[in-house]
Order: sequence, then C-alpha cells, then structure tokens
Amino acid sequence: MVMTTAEKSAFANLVTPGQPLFDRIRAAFSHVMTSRSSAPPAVPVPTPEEAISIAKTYAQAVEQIYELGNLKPGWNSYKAGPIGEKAQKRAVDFLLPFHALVPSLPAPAIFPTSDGGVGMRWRMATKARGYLDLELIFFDGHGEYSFDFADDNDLLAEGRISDAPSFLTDVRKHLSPYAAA
Amino acid sequence: LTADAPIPAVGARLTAGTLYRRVSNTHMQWDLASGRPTKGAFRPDKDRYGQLEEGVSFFLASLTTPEAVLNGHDGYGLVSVDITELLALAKVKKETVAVKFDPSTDGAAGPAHCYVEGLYGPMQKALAKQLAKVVVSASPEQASGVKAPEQDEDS
Repeated sequence: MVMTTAEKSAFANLVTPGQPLFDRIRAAFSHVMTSRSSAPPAVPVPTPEEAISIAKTYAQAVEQIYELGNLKPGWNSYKAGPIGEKAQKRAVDFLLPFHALVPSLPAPAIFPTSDGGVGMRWRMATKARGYLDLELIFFDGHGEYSFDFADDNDLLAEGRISDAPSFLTDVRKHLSPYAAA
Repeated sequence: LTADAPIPAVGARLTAGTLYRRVSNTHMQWDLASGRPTKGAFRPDKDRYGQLEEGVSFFLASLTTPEAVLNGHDGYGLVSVDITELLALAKVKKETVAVKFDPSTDGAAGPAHCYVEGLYGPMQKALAKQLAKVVVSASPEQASGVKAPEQDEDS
C-alpha cells in the first residue's frame, strides 16, 4: 500500500501513543481498584499544572479520534474500510465524561481497528504481573472493553460499555483483586 | 508456489498445515517491546461497504512464501500459525474456529488465501501471546507510510 505524504503525516499523528505518565495512571486508577466499600471512592485531584497537562492529552486524543476518519479503504493492507463516524462520536462522548470522572488520568493511546472501530488503551505497570492493558473499542452501535495482563495467555475480563460511570464500576469489579499488585 | 503442494478445494476446511499472516508495524498491531503481534492484529475487517468479513485473512504456507505475503509491504511483520494447534486451543477454550481455503487474485499470495472464522477476543489474545510464531519481525522504522512508535510506557 502506498500512502501520500499527507496520509503518512496523518497516520504518524494518529498512531502516536498517549502520554508517558504511567505512574499517574496507576495512581488515578488506584482509588477505583482499592476501594471495596460501598461509599464512592475518593478521586485523586491533580495539581493545576497537572490538570492542564492532562487536559492537553485529552484534547490531543479527541483530535486523533477524528483524524481516524482520514484513513483510506485498505489502510491495514487487507480490506479494512473507513472508521465509522458514529464510532468516532461515541468514543468522544465517552472520553470527555470519563476524564471528568478521573481527572488525574492521562488520555489513552488512540488507534483504529480493522472492523471500523475506535480503540483506546491504557497500559499500566503492576509490581507482580507486569503490564496491565485496559482496552476499549467503540463501534457505530456499541462499545466493548477488555482487560488483560501482557504476559498472560488469556483475557482477564471483557464486556460491553454503556457509559463512563458504568465502565468505572466494571473496572473496580474486575481489578480489585489486583489492587495490591 | 510450491510445485508439489496439494491444492485444497475452494471452501475446504483445513485441519492441518501452517498459515501466514502479515502484520503492520503500527502500535495497534505490533508490540515493539515484546516483539510480538497484538490482539488487534487478528480482528476481522469491515470493508468499505460496511460489510464485516466472516473471517480473518491468512495465507496457506504450503502454497506461498513469506516473501510473497510481504510483497509490497516493507516493514511489516510476518507470523505463522499451526492450524492443528489453533483448532486444538479453540476447542479447549470452547470457541468455534474454522479455517477455510478461499483463494483470490489479490496480490502475490492471493492464491494461498484462507479465512479463519471465529476469532473473537479470547482467540485473538491467544494468537497474540501464544499461538503466532514470529517469522519476520515488524520494523520500528517507518515503512509503507506507517511508523510504529515507541511503546507507550517508554515514550
């Protein structure tokens, strides 16, 4: 497949991963992972400087989501078509409320999927089991998530996404056993 | 093509042999840290008309070569998958997977094209981590207009 210079630039931009703030990612999710009480967990509050820096990562992520619309048919060297406009909107509609819920968490890496979806991935280091990937994919009609440790052969969990608060509940449910990791 | 390799009937279900799949050198399909493909490398395509393909494209190794599969895709990686191992693991995971011979005229490896049906999340993960053997590593350098960036945690 041969790409034009403009397409190369667009692709290089959209495949740029999220920000290198993985200690903060772990910290941002830790309240979700460690709280076992029924009371709402305390949400870490970033400093003003951190908040500005993190907000920029979300602005960049939203831009990358819309840049996915520039991909031409066959972009994966097989038969992948364009990324759905509804999928892009669904992804943005999830991402911004999610940022409001977990303000100290930097934006995820954004990527297209060959079945027309918008993918997001947070990768965080754990002490005991290596890297944990939280991957979300938004399609025109629905959203899916999966959690897995990079070194495992099996998925830890997978499911559907309804909205940002429900997703956080699922994160808490599935990852609490690994809070100490 | 390998001169003496038997050619299956079109649509035949394969239960033995080796498959190739090329994988782009982008972070959504290739993990530079581990030197292996990601789950995303084994998702089906939704084509330009919005039709979701029933399977994921592979190429029957006995009817092609790594060079033919990678032809025109500099920098891409290539993995091989043993069909018997794939079907055995699918059975263990209670996933319904089938390998069907589906030759085409697309590209140098088209006559060896196969579809693997039933690759959902658990099998995508198993392929990425366990089943797929790396034949050619994807290049971290820009190729075919696509660059694999550094891993998230290192960038």
